[in-house]
Amino acid sequence: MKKIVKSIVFIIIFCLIWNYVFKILWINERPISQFYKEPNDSLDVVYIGASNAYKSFNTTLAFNEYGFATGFLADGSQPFEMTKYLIKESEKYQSPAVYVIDIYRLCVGSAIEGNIRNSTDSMKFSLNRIDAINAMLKYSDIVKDDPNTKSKDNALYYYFSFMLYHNKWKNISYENFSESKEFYKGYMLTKNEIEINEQENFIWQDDIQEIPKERLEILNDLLDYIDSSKVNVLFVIPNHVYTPEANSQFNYVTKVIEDRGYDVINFNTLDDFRGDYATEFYDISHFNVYGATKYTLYFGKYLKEHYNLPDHREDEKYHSWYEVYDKLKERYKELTGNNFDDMLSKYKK
Amino acid sequence: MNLISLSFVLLCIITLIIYFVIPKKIQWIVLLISSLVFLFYDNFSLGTFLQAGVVLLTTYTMARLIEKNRDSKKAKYFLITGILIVLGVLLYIKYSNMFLSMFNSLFGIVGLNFKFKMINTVSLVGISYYSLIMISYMTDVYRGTCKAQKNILKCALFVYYFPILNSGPFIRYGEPGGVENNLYNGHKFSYEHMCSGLIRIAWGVFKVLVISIRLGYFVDTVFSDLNAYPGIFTIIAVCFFPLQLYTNFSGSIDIIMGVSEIMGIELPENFTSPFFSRTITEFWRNWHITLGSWLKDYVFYPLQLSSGIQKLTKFCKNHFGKKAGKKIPMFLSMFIMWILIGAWHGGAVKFIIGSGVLQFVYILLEDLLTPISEKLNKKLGINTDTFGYRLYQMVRTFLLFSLAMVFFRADSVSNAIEIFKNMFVWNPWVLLDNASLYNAGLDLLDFRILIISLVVLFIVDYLKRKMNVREKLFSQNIVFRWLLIYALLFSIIIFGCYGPGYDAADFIYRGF
Repeated sequence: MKKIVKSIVFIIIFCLIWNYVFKILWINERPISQFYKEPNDSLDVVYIGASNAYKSFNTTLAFNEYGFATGFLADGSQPFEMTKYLIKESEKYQSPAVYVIDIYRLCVGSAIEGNIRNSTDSMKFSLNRIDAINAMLKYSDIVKDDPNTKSKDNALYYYFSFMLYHNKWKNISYENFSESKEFYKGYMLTKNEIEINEQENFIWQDDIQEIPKERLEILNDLLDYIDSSKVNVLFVIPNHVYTPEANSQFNYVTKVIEDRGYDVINFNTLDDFRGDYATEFYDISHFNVYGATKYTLYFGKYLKEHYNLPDHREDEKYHSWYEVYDKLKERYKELTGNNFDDMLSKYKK
Repeated sequence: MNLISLSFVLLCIITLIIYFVIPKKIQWIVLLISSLVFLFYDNFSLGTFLQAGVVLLTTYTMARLIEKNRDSKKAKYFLITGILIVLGVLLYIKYSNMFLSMFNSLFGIVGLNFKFKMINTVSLVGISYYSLIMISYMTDVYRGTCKAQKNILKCALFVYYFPILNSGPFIRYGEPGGVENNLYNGHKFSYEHMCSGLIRIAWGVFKVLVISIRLGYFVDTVFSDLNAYPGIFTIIAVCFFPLQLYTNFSGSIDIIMGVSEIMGIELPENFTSPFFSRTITEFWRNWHITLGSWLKDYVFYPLQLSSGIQKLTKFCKNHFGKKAGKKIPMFLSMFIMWILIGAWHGGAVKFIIGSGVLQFVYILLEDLLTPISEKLNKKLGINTDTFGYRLYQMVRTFLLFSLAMVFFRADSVSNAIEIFKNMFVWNPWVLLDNASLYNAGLDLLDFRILIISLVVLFIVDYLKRKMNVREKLFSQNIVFRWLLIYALLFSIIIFGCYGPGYDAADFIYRGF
């Protein structure tokens, strides 16, 4: 008996050290890792998408203005095929009133190793994570280019991400031990997001073009899952600059989704919302902090009104949202030298 | 199946679970099934099945026939037949192409326009190991040092016992502790054995993943582009290679011994801190011990006792005196033995020179020069009983071995000569110019990890000569003990060379 207890204690200590090493050494703070930090059943909205999701919607601002809590299951160039698995992942911990699904990556870009890793590395180890990896390996370009990627051993490197990251000890620095200054309840604010880079004015066209069979298969698979799981979803096409091909493919996708009975908001065609291509973008597919503020105020209000979201602003359990919001404001001042509230009040007008 | 692979880990876990769940009487069947899985995992075909079947059937039948006819002359014929068949299959599978290319070169030299076609043979893992084990088994039955196994399946387990198929060690049917006791009788689960075995496995993995592969990066970078890495680079690579070989080979042996230990199976040690040896003779008593003792028992001593060598001894005694008369035939037997050691490593001339002839020359010179050096030391008043002198002897032994290993590592004899030439390029400043030194496969941080790991390795190896290190570890208080174990485990996890971008940890001796 004594030996069994000893072995169990040994393993527990091993796991604790492992967990610490894993966090410090291998996994940087990402929006998905911040998602896991939220208490169970505390989020009202779960936003799924790529970088344009967590760079567009300022969660703490939305909380401060409308009182609902939003979490991100999003990462840089996150492949669209992840969506189904991320909803499954979310359902383990949260019961949001609505899932906002950014469909940008359904028609734009393809999955390379880094994209697969970005999202799945931060996910907790589970069968769902393995399924997500397998699904992405099935559709990703690396499989097409390199038959070896299909091998079991290669999938193992995705399942057990420490096999890749253990070597990161060479890059360890003070940053690994300090609090993230990039993410604020999932929303990202760095030097990039304060830049103003004028983009070419983009006008949405009505042309329609079918998407490749494989992409349609992924979309239908997701819609089938949503049908069966009975979760509330809202699809969004973010306000960006698109190629004519992507533009017409999104028109097709919108039709497919709407035919299945789900709503799609195209932020490029609204009468009362439009990002300013001269001042509110930092590149063709990302709002800067100003565009994000405008977007959050508009979309936050929409969500609040259409999904009857609760107001947690007086709830003591949500106190951390104010703390993080203050840190965000401090960071904004650090980066720009200006007051966040002054900027906000301009947009509120 | 690689020793550091998920498939091997799974095989071991499944084997261990079933092994300890079922009754002791039938535990050996689990070992046999696992051994067959391991044997055929990489190459399962009718050809490989027949290959393994023929030599097993030969070994089993000949051993039984030898035992039945022990008192008649037939026994000798059965032994010779058995050895010829096992050796024949080994030579055909591993060496036929080498012989054919030798013949082809010979035909070319004498101007014959004829060439043998190369044969496409598939080798089973561990063929060089199980073939010698089979030969020693038949010989032991012939000598009467052990009884023939009546059950062919048990015989199969002995010759194909899975952990040793990778890199040895050589086991013998009749050795103390015995196969009967180790493999067939079964064992109860022991917590102590499990802990001790797991630590040995971890230590082996540390040697391979943290040290050996890291050393390999430097060695491979330098040897693959000698022009870019002359002088000091080549010298360091030449010194690194024996360390790479040692950590790789002894690391795999640690894993093998650890897995066996968990099951309560004792295997003979194959290394005992060889780099603390003060002479080449001592070095070979501590390096690949089971191969050395196998060759001594089944080649050297029989040769010494053969009528030809006896006649030679007599002749030499009559013509060169008693001392030389004894030594000349002994050195001849030794020479044959060293040639065979070289040949066992692959038969190529570079192996015969590096692992055979040069080692023999060292031992010969050692024998001839030791009396002279002793006299010289006495005359010059050099105190040899000091740490400094012992260190000098160890470094000298290491350097001699390193030079011989150049042939082992080189692609060919001419490549080895090129490496030697490259060592004489004068560029010691690269040691001060960090940028270039850290550009040869290992950066500064890798070098640091390597040096720390090597220091730990040498400390442990030194302690191993004085005590049973694992017993000592287990006698420490729990906090210190666990700290050391966690340090070992996390060193492997963090600093090990594995995962994408790394070649799978291949074992150098697996190829033999």
